[in-house]
Amino acid sequence: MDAERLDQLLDAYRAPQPSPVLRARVLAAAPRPPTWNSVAGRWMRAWAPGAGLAAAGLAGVLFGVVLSGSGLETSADTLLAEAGPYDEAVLNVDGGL
Amino acid sequence: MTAPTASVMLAAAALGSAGERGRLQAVEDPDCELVQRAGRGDPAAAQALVARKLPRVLALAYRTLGDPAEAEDVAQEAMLKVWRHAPGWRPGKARFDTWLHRVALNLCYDRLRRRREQPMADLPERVDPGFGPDRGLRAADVGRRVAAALQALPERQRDALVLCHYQELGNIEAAEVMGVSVEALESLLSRGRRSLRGALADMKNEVAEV
Repeated sequence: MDAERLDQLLDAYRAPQPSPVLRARVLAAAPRPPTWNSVAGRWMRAWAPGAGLAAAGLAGVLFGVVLSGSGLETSADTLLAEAGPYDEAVLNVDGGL
Repeated sequence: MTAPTASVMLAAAALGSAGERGRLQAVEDPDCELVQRAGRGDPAAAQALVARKLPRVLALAYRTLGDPAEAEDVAQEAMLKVWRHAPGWRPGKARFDTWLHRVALNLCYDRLRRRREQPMADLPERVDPGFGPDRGLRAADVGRRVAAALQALPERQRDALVLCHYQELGNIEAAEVMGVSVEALESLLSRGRRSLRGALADMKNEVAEV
């Protein structure tokens, strides 16, 4: 049998065509164009960890400022409350010197 | 395989660096732009890619596995891999068609390996879907005989024949898909064709009637 005849025989073995169901299944899984929601969602996912870290840092700074501010006030009030009339007189005398 | 156009050959002469060669390969690969568009979510590109590639992948899987249901599964899996890789597809060393054939063939190998591990009773019944009633009994008979002879070949010889004869890949591309040298592929092809000639020797007069 020559090569041409063998090729003809091989050509008789046909493969099936893809069914419409298979085509539809494959197309249903194809990538979709990006929508506003998906872009916003991707942006949020990308920035959320950084934003969370920055927010935690800012909260820490604010807490520190508030705490240190209220601490000073407390110690000054305590000093004034603890100072009696004698202490005040001494302070005035020292101030006079 | 399509021959490079004159403009591509001129570009090849003008280009030198690796990056430029990468761009040239993108020009040479007729599917690259379509894949990239499909990856960006272009539905027309996805449809065109399915119309162009799904029949080829299905045919490869069918002739490698000999089972239409398994071939459909493989074709679907291969196309899902295409969708996964399409958004980041860059023209690289291999053409898209070569890459796709390798993916599909590897999926077929997985199935064949699993099949060898299964008891024979669990194998799916083979159906011949290729012929309608209008094509006649003789054509169906010839197709069945060829299918049986092809399935009886050693796996690598069958793959070489399927890639070169049915998928119409060039020897270099087919060798790349199979991961062998061109010389090894030619040897596989030659032995496969010799075996088929022997197996189908009694049918040499049937050809004219197909």
